Amino acid sequence: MSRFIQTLTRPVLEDNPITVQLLGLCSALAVTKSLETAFAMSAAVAAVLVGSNAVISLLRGVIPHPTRLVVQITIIASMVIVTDQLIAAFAPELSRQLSIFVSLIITNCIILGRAEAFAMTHGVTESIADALGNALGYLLLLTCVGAIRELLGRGALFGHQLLPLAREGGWFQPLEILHLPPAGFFLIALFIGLSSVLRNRSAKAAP
Amino acid sequence: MSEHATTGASGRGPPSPRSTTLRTITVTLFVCLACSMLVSISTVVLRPIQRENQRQAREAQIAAILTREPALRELLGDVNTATLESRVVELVSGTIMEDMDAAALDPVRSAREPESSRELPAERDLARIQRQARHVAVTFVRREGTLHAIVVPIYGRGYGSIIRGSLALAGDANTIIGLAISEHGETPGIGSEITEPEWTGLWPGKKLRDDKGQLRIHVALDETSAAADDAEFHVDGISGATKSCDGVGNMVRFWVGEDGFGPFLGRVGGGEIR
Repeated sequence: MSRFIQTLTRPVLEDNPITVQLLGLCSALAVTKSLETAFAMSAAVAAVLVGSNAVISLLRGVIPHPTRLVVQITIIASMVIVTDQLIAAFAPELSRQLSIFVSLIITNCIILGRAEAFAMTHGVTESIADALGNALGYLLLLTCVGAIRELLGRGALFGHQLLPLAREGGWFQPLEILHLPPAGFFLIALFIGLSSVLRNRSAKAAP
Repeated sequence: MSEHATTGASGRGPPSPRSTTLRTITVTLFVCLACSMLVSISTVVLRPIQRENQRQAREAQIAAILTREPALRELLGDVNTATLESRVVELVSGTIMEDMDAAALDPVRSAREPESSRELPAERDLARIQRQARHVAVTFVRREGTLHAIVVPIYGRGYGSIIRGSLALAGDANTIIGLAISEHGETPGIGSEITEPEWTGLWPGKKLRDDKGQLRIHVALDETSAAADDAEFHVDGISGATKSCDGVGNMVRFWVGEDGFGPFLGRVGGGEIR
């Protein structure tokens, strides 16, 4: 059980998929304009990641080595399409907001990365723990970036206006740039830098 | 757990069992088959629900553009007491086809089939749609017998996709009540800004034509050389999404112009159609 917890928590901070493994950056840049889309995207990624890690780990004994990438991506793509269809059927509003980014989960390197690097060589329970951990790590970063961009770019969180906008008679002048695509690059770069500094410091502190 | 449950460090172990060519092909094919079954089933099972969602979204959107503006809400009163009525318009003459059922009209299909559509000459094809249906369904919004608004469907090419939406006009057939974009494939985060209320909110209150009947409505970024009375007809473009905004501006101009609903709007404005 302790190993389960360890596998689960390691990717959240220490081996975060975005700031340390540098995977899944494209989607992280795209859906962090508001907290709501960041959450929804993380949930979709978590669903696909857990599903694909579990299935690939189950099949790891039979997946032939030469075509393993083909098999992995087929399984991942199918899961993404099913997830996309489910969202379109049961949460149409969300589906419109996330637009193409759900189908682009197929090319989200976190999924294939974890399948190839972890699920192919580990048991089902551990693979699920790894998937959950990575999904949590992804969620954590998306939440931080999304919260900063929505709060400072729009004065709101989850669509609720927290800071009264200047153009509506309040005092808050939103930082337009945070609402625009480049802000995603800047913030994620800051987080990558921050995590790198922290890791270097703890590596030096360790004997 | 199993022989494969090794520690994280030894990770990338030796390849999986004996990989003969036959086995490789069989397993790969089997996985592909199973996955394609899963995908097909989910698509077919979920399609009716998705269709229903799209229909509801369109209806909600028409109701939404009619109620968004406070001034308009006053004009319309409670939208629930308004009656929505779909009619088919013949574009060239601008008359209502009493014998055609609006619900039976498939707009995408009838714009494509040769017998129900016409080709547009390139120099007049402002919306860049090449073909156009002869008959189009429009929605009349009435309250206690008076015509409050007309909602017409519009579409055209933006930067990289066909943009579809609805334009709501007041009973004078000249004042814009609202514009809603229902479908597009513009660049997410850039061109997709055309669907944001911050931009569509610029449209209500604008006029299509001036007193002389000249079509003046337009979208532009640069307004240094504008005429003094331009503000009524001008909608600001979004920088970075120029092509998408221009696409919307062009499609509005096309659809309210002579090749679009022009003749029909003329009849409504003239009081011929109530």
